[in-house]
Order: sequence, then structure tokens, then C-alpha cells
Amino acid sequence: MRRVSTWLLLLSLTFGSGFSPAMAKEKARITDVTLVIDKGGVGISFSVQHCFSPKIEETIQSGVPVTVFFSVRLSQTKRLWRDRRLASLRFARRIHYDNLKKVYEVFLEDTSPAVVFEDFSEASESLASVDNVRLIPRRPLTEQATYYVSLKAELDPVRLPFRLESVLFFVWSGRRETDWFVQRFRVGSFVLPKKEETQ
Amino acid sequence: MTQTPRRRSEDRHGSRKRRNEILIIGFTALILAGLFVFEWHLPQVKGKLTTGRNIFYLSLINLNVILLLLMLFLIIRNLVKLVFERKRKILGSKLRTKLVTAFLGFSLVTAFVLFFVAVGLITSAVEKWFSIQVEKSLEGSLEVAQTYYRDFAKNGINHAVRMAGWVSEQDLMEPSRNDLLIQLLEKKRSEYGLGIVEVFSADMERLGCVTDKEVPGNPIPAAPIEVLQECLGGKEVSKTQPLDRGELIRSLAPIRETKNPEVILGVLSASYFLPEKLMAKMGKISQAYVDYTHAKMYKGTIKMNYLLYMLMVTLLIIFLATWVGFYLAKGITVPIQELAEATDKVAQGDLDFHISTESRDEIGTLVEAFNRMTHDLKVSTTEVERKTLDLEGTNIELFQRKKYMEIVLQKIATGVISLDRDGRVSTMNKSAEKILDANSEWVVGRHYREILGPEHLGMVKDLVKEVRDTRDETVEKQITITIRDRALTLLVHLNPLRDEEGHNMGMVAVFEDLTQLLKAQRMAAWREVARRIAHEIKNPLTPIQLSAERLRRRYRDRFTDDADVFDECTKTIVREAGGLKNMVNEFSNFASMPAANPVPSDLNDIVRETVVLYQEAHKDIQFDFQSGMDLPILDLDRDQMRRVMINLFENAIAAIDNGGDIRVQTDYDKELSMVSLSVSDNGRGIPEEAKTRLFEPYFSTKKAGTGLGLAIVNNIVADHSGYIRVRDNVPRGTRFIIELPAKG
Repeated sequence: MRRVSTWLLLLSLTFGSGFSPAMAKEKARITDVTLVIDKGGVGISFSVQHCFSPKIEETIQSGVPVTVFFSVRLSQTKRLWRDRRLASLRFARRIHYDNLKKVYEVFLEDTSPAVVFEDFSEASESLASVDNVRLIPRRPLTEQATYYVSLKAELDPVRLPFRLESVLFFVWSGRRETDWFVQRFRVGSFVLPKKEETQ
Repeated sequence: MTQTPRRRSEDRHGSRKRRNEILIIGFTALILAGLFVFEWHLPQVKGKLTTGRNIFYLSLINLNVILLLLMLFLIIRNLVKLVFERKRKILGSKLRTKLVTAFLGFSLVTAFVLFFVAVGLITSAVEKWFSIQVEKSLEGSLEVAQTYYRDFAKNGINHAVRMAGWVSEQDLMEPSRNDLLIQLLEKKRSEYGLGIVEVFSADMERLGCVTDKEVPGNPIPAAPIEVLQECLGGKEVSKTQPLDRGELIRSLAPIRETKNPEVILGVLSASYFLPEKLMAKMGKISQAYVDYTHAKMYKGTIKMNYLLYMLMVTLLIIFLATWVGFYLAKGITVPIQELAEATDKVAQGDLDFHISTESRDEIGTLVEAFNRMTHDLKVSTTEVERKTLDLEGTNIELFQRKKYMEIVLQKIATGVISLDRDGRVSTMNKSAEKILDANSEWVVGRHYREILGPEHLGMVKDLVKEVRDTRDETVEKQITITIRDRALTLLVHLNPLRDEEGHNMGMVAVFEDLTQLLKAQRMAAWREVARRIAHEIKNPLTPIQLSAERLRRRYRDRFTDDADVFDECTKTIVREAGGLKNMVNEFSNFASMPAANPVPSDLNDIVRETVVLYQEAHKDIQFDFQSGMDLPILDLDRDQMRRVMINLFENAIAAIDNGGDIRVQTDYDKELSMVSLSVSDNGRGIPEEAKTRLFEPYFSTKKAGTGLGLAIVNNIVADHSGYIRVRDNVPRGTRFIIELPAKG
């Protein structure tokens, strides 16, 4: 029997073959998912494709800070019972265009200083790429069980200027989110994902 | 306990209303819940605001939506109802349609004018908010701020490069010359107005640092390593670095060896300090521009939202106007409908119907007036009913009196005929009908000239003239008239009628039939005469006859010459005395007519016996007897009836000259229960003037008649409760009709 703790599974999976280019252009989705699995937990890297719509991009360019929330969950599959959530993580990243200095500031963590970019594509790529987020379950993973990670990115609604949200209650405020991306796996092996699922 | 149909109908209506209310409430709650769920999950709502504010906003919005929907529903319902009412031509629907249409039209025009004006104003205002001038000025402000940053960075680089040259030229990087380095840095910092000037070695060690006293923070944070490394790479770098109460614009230039510029000895950092206040001002400029550009992105949406609000307000105004139209129309038409219903009720006689209204306007006044009118009408009707009852009582009394008078008039034996002032017959009682043998139905209402024949008209005219001429209260006269071959003797009292003021109202004729009375009186008188004559004459007749016979027997033989004369004279005396005796016997019989002794008899048998007797005796006369069928048995005195027949036959034979016909007929009228016997001949007939006296004693149209035959017949018939009349026979002759009542 192989030692599972030493197994490293690098998965680079790109989805989107079932989507038309136009849809892919419009819809934000999780891509380039890489899992590093061992008994101690799961290290996840991924990026969000088409994270910002043209409208959001325009909003960012106008100087409005935009926050993206990332949700990462680790669950165990149960056959006759509800799946058990083992660990979850939700974190935010913010991008802001400083129109005085003409630079893009990306806040990857709440406390850390902003990473400054002069190019928007670099800034957005930096924001949309999540590198090695580690989920530590409450109990160690076993080889017998089937697990899955769920990933989702959602854009925090943009607040309207001049408190217009109080007046323009139903005005579109840039809410955008990906579907839940689900990747099933076992310790020592992996199961191919069923594209994107809604959870 | 049983319910009335109206109560049941009200209960059904109430329960249906309650059910509808529950349905509406349930439906509204469902819509409200659905709207909440839907809106809560809208991307625009989800996570944008706090839960409390979301609930507040959603509640307000949904309340408005519900109210709008409810109003829309009610208005559509009322409109549909109005259309159906109009089709069914329900009272008030036309007026309601007019009012609603007027309100709707007026509100539509005004609301849409307002709407379009407001749309124009909003569009104009929004366009002004996002005008080129505003944008340019904001961009200008931002560019000023950006230039400020850019210039600081640029100047900082220049100063850093210059100072780096001096440091290199004066070889101030040596540790032993550090004091000189500090002096230079301080001098130049002060000269260039810099906040901080620092010198870093190639190992990124800070060799010297001078600071303006306005720069906060102690110690001053070091320059970021990556920036230093970049600069040590030979690049001039400018970076901002935040401080506690401001920001540094760091400009770094490499310090190159004088002889060999490729060798970098260190880095000189010249930093401008931007104080917090200045940063805040520039931040405001930046934020204003951000807000502006952000808002500009929603320019169309903002405009559309305001237009949506205006549209909602417009719709609200229209709905309200329609609703007000319905309300006002209801306020007018409902009382009108109630008035119409009330009018129907009043027309049907229900004066207790009361319309309740809370309206104080003209409609209310009208309703109150109607109620007052109904009340007055009820009072009047009650009064009229009371008076009608009184009047009815009076009428009944009058009617009873009239009836009584009529009954009295009808029952009295005296005939009464009243004429109005024009001479038309107003009343005629039964006795008058009977006496005059007239039909009151035909007579009443006709003028007396129209009724009376010429033979009577003159008489009546004379009477009327006498009344008018004499001006007496009463004219009394005994007249004898013949009506249908019947002689009547009447005592007539003619009284003029005048009202209390003396105006002519016509006259009344009261007459009594004296015919029978006079006849009876005459009969009694004649009987007395007959009895006395018979008594006085009969007594000497027998001695006269006996004496004449004795003279004839004794002295007939003594006369030779005059024996024949003597014999003839005595014979004549005896014969005439016998004749006188017979006549006296007749008188005596008439005077002492025995009382009838009726026994059940068949009239046909009596008649037949007499007919057979006379048929044999008078061969030259044709006797024809037609016996009536089903003739009842009558109580008759056979001898007296036979005598009646003999007398009638004798009269008929006497009236026939040479041969002729005598027809006898009996008949029975079941309806009148009357048996009739008629004896008719085709003889000479009886003159009209003789008919009235035909049944009087000693009245005879024959020379040899005693005038007692028909008087005896009349007596016998009267004793049998019958009646005898005389008529002309057609084509000639006389016809006697006897009517005898049947039994029972």
C-alpha cells in the first residue's frame, strides 16, 4: 500500500469546453485549479477567469474599490447522510485604482500593504489568482473516504455614489459570482470533477 | 326559529363578503411574501445593505407595490363592473361613467402634462449634473492633483540626482566624512524644501538622514528594500510611502562613483512630505472625480429611475383620480338609485320607506327632502284614509238610507216616478212598473215625451202645465187611461221638486191604482142595487103572473070578440112577468153570488164539456178547442167555471153574425206557474171605449143584454185568484184571456 502522505497530486484542470466563447467571455468561472492533497489537509491554488465584467472594469477604472470574496470548502461525501463539512475558508481581496498616482492597488490580505501595479491586467490577475490556500480539516483525511473541495468567487456589490442605493434601490450594482466549482478526490487518488456544480 | 328570505340573503351576502376579504388578504399576504423572497435574492439587494435597512426598504417598496396592485385591482374591478352595469342599463351607471370618464380624462391630461414636464426637467437636471463643464472642472482638479504628485516626484528625482553627484564628488560616503554629509544633506534639504533626505550605502545601510521638523514619526521609516534594490540597480525610482499623518514621495537616485559612473556607491533618497491636510484635500478631489465618473456610469439608470418614480406618481394620481371619480359617482348615484327604489316603493304604497344618508351636500338635502315628502305623504295619506273611512261610513249610511228609501219605494203599492228638471225619468219604483206595465230599465233616463204615446202625452203635458201654472205644491187628479187594452183609474199626485233655495229640481209623480178599488166599490153598489131590485121587483111579479094566468083561465072564455086580444095580453103579461122574473133572478143570482167551492179539477175537462154542449147547439159555428199539454190540476169550482165558459161562449156567439169561429185554447207557463185560458172569436169585436167598462155590471154592448155576464165572469175569476183581460183578436173579433195561478 502506498503511503498516501507522500502523495502529491498536482491537478491543473481547465474547464470551459462546454461553454461557448461568448458565454465564457461573460461568465466568471474558476479555472486552473491545483490541489495538493495529503492526510493533513488540502492546499488549493486556482484563478478566476473573467473575474471582472467590462462594466466592473469600468467601475474599477473610475476609482471605485472593488472587493472579491473567495469561498473555499472541504467536505466529506456521505452516502446516506448529508455531506459533512470539514473545513471552510472565506477571504476577500480588493482592488483599487488610485487616480492621483495612476496606479492599481491590490490588497491581497486585510492587514498586508497593497501591491501596486501600473497595469490593470497585472493587477486583476494578481487579484484573481489564489495561490496555495490550505484547508486543515477538523479530523485527518482517510483513504477510505471520498472528499471534495468547493470553490467559489463572488464580487461584492459595488456601493453607488452619493448613497444613491437608497434612491436607486433596484439599480444593478455589479454583483457577479462564479458557480461552485467542485473537485472530488480521495487520499491517494483523485476523481475527475464533473465540471462546475451549483451547491 | 326560521329566518326571513331577506335575512338569509343578507347573511349569504355577509359571508360571501367575509370570504372575499379573507381571499384578498391571503392573496395579498402571498404576493407580499413572494415579493420579499424574490427581492431578497435580487443581486442588487443581497448583501448591499444591512438586513434592517433592507427590510425597511423592501417593506416600503412592497407596501407601495401592494397598494398599487390593490388599487389597480379595485379600479379594474370597478371599471368592469361599471361596463356590465352600463350594459344592463342599471340606474346611475351612465352618470357614474360620465363622472369617472371626466375624472380620468382630466387626471390623464394633467398627470401626463405634469409627467412630461417633469421628465423634461429631470432630463435637463441630470444632463446638467453630468455636463461637460462639471466633468472638465473635475478632471482639471484631478490633473492638478496628479501634476502635484508628478512634479514632486520629478523634482525629487532631480534633487536626488544632483545631491548624489555632490556626495560622490565630495567623497562624503566615507564614514569619516559623515558629519560633512549630514551638513550637506541638511543644507540642501532646507534649500530644496524637502521633508527628508537620506543616504543609503550599497548595503542599504542608512548612512545619513536629515528630517524637517514638520515630518512626523520617530524614527522615520526606512525606504522599502525593493525600491532600494531597484535603485541600486542603477534606476532612478520614485515611490510614495505612507506615514502616520501624511505621505512621503520618495525619489531615489543612485550615487555613482565620479571616476567610474558604473560603480554605484549607494542611494540618495530625497522625500517630499505631504501633510495629512493636503492629502485629504487631494483625496477629496480624487473621491469627487471617482464619485462623478461612477455616477456618470449610472446616468441613464438614474434618469430612468427618476422617470420611473414620476411614472409611479403619475399612475398614482390617475388611479386616485379614478378612485375619487368612483367615490364621487357613488356618492351621487347610490342616493339616486336609492331614491329611484324608494320612489318605486312609494309608488307601490310603502310610505314607511326611509333612505338613510350621511351626506350633507345637495344630494343629502334631496334625500332629506324626499324623506320629508314621504313622511308628509304618509301623514296626508293617513289623514285621507281616515277621512275616506269617515266618508265611506257616511256613504254606507247614505247608501243604506238610499237603499232603505228604494226598498220603501219598491215595496209601497203606490207608484212613484220622478223626473229631473229636464223632464227625464230619474226613478221609477216597482209599483209604478207594475201599474203602468213598463220596464224601468228602459224608462229611466229617457224623456217623458219619448216614453209616452200620443194618447197619454197630452194628458201628462196638461198635468205638468197645471203644476207649473198653478205653482201649487201638489196637483192631485184622478185619471183614467188605457194601457195595453187595460183600463186603469189612477189617482195622481204630482209634486214639483225644489231645493232649499227654491231651484227647480224636477218633479215627482205619485199615483195609486184605483181601478180595482173602484171596481169593487161599483160591484158592491151594483150588488146592493140588484138585491134591492130583486127584492122589490120579485115580490109583486109572482102575484102579477098568477093573477094574469088566473084572469086568462077564468075570463078567456067570456070574451068572444076580444078573446084573442085578452088571451094575447094575458100571455104577454105572463111572459113578460116571467121574463122579469128571470131577470130578477139573474139580478138575485148576481147579488147573492155563492162563495166558490174549489176542488181539484181539470180545466181541460170543464172546457171540453162546455165546448161539446155548445157544438151540438150551434152547428153553424166552428168550435176549435186546443187543450194545453201538461196542464196541472187546479182548485176550481166546476160549476162556476162552467158558468164562466157559458158566459164567454154566449158573448162570442152573440158577436158572430152568420157562422164563424170560436177558438178555445188552454196553456201552462211553467216559469210563471200560470194556467191561461183564452176564448177568441172572429165577431164584431168590442170598441175601445167599451173595453174599460166591459166587466162592470149592467154594462152591455147588446140591446138585450143584462150587462151581468162578464161581471159575473170577472167575479168568478177573481174568486179563483185569477185575472181576465180582453184583447182584440187578430184579424178581427175579440179575445178574452183568463189567467189562473197553479198550485204551489
